Amino acid sequence: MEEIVLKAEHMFKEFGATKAVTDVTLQVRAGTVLGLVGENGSGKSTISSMIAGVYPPTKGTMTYLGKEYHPKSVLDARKAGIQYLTQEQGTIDGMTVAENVFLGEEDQFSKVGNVSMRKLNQVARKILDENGLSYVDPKKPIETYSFEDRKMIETARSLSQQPRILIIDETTTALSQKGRDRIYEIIDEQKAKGTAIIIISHDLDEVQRLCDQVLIMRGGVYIDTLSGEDINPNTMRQKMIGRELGGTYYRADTTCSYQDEVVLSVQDLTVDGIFYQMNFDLHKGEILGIGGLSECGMHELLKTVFGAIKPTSGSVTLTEGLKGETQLKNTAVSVRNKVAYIPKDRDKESLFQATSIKENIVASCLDKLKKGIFISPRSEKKTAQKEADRMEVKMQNVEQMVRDLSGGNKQKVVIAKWLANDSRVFIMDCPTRGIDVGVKAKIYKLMNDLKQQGIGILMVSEEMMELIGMADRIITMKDGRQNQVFTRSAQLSEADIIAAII
Amino acid sequence: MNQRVRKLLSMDTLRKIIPLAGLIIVILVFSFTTNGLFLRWNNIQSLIMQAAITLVAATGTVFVMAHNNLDFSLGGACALSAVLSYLVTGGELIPFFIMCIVFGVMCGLISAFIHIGGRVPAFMAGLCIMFAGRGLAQTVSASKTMLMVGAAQFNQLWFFLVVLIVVFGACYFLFNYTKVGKYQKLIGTNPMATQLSGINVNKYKTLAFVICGVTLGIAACLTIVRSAAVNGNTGLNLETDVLLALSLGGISMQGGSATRIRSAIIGVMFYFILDNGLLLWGLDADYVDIVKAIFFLLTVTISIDRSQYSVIA
Repeated sequence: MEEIVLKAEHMFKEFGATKAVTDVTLQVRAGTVLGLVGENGSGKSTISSMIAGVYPPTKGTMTYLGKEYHPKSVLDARKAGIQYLTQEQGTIDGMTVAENVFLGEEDQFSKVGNVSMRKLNQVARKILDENGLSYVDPKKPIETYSFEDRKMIETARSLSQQPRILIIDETTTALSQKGRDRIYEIIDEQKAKGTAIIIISHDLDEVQRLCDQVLIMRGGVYIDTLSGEDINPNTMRQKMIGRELGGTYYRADTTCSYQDEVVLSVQDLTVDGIFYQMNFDLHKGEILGIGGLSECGMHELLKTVFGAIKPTSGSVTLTEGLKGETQLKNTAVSVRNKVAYIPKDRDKESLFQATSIKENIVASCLDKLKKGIFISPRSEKKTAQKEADRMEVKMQNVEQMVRDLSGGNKQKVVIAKWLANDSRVFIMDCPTRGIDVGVKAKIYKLMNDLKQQGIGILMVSEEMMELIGMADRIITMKDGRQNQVFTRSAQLSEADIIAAII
Repeated sequence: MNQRVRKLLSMDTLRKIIPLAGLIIVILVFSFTTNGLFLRWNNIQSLIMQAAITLVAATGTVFVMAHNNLDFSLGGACALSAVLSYLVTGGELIPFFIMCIVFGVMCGLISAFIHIGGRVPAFMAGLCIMFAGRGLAQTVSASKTMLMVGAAQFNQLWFFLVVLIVVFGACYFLFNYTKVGKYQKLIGTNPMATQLSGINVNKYKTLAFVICGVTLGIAACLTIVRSAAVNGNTGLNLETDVLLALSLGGISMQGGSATRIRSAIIGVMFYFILDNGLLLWGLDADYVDIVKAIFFLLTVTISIDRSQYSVIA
């Protein structure tokens, strides 16, 4: 057996009254990949954060390379050889690529306090080249590069420090297939070098492919460790949820079905430089999927349809607005006419973090609650409670801060907000991004219920299976242009769609 | 038990109670150490009338701070409204009051316009209004005496109390129970999410400046009632008084959901009682400012919400 690099024993972590991790023990061996798997809020990020020095455990001991290990900060852990990659942006805008690569390490280039930029750029160049990023210019500001490139630069930074342990926390969720492949390559290389790797991922196929061992957690508690043949999506799913889950959790039917009536009509919609000449109708009771590569313009398309981006030309018409036919010119008009928008970037674009669940849920429906100009706290609370219960948000009460919720529960709050406004058209951008199977299943069921009620849903997704599993029709986009239309059928395969978008 | 004590002593709770606790302590200390001077009716009366002007202006400013802007125009805008209003109405009492408020709103709209139209931080716009207003007031008052003898009839406690209660009551209602107030807090927390929730961010930001302008105009009226004349120093330092007082009252520096309108009342009382008590102690006015600065730093260090300053790595 390979050498044990890190042992974390009887780890506990409490945030106030919330027990995030309770008595979990794990160990990682050199040159192996350990997967941490569990639903949102099961404590997998918490335990890896403790290893990475983000915050100290409430109780428990960690032994690293045979010695007791108490990291005081992320920097401390990095110096010890533990690198932590997350799904959030880890680079700082406004600084150059090279400066980002050596963030906190500039001292090695300084003579009498003056950092030698020339040397810094040179060494950064070398590190970028070694990691297949020869097209990146170390002197350019980091924000000139896409999110994916930035993530890769961050990864290169981590690898340049010869880590003994590499923690990859849902990093692949935010990346395209190309980026993911690159991360898989890196994992293989590091494995060969003898680095211990910890992976957190919701993509169970990915976990199956990469991991030597998988540790399952549920509600902050250790459930089981799997290895070998036991590492397969079905077993993992069962252990995560603690009960059997039907083989499929998408729609059961395989026929395209919607009413004839059009609810939303998009005509010749163009935003110069991003997408061109988009034409489609959304019908009552239809789930219309849009698929493509992340940069194909589909995310911006949804924003434009909702009125958050001003189109260069073209129009978005709601056929049955409050006053008949209505152009969706801005977000206020859209929401007033009961159109809902669920953005891809939950934390930045849809949530008020340091704010109560209640205020998040009623944010869009105050017009419905007010009497004259007065909004009674009781009606707010009642509405919030009702919608939170309907979405089964796991919470102490509606006054709890949203930032303390797990990803899946946060998304439930976002959906609850739009249900509270009696929305009749839903625009969803990757509605299940970074969400565990339990909540995913719930969201799919809800979409199906909405469909039955005659509500139109326009959905962008980066997961082909989700599109095939849920949509009545799928429009594919490529380089900002409408490409093909697929109709729901049992024969439709992932390969068909991928062929259309690449 | 242990957990309850820990919760009580947590930084979070401390942050919330420090302003009020500080106010109570200051009141108690001055009550016992000034030979009863502090508690004399005359003293309390002048304290209230002094504080009323700042409190009225501070109440409206809370709306602007809630959406994460600072209004630096107050002092200059106060002088500007008073002078312009005098020039327009010739010092006739009721029209003067009305025009004061109109010009106050105008100042607010200018700030909003520069901030939203020009995408400039509102405090920059405010600074410009402050200097321009002060300059204008000094220029005009150098060549013209603007007496408002008639205004002195209102220089009475009841008038100040009525204005105070009406303004604070109305603002309290607007801030906590209507869209105008609620949206300010949402904008301060996350402007992007606010926009994507279908709320017209620019409109509600502008409304905050309008409310701030109304209270500023009312504060300008009270200033004139107290001094019975418009001059170059009308409303001097109002902006710093308001901002310091709000900070003492524990207002959230980045706005957002943590913003409470009670910060205005607690902060302004704290600020003026401190001032008053220190003077009663016989401390030289220059030293009073130094002590105030130290107090200010202490309170803010303890009570500021740091959640948004935290940096990982």
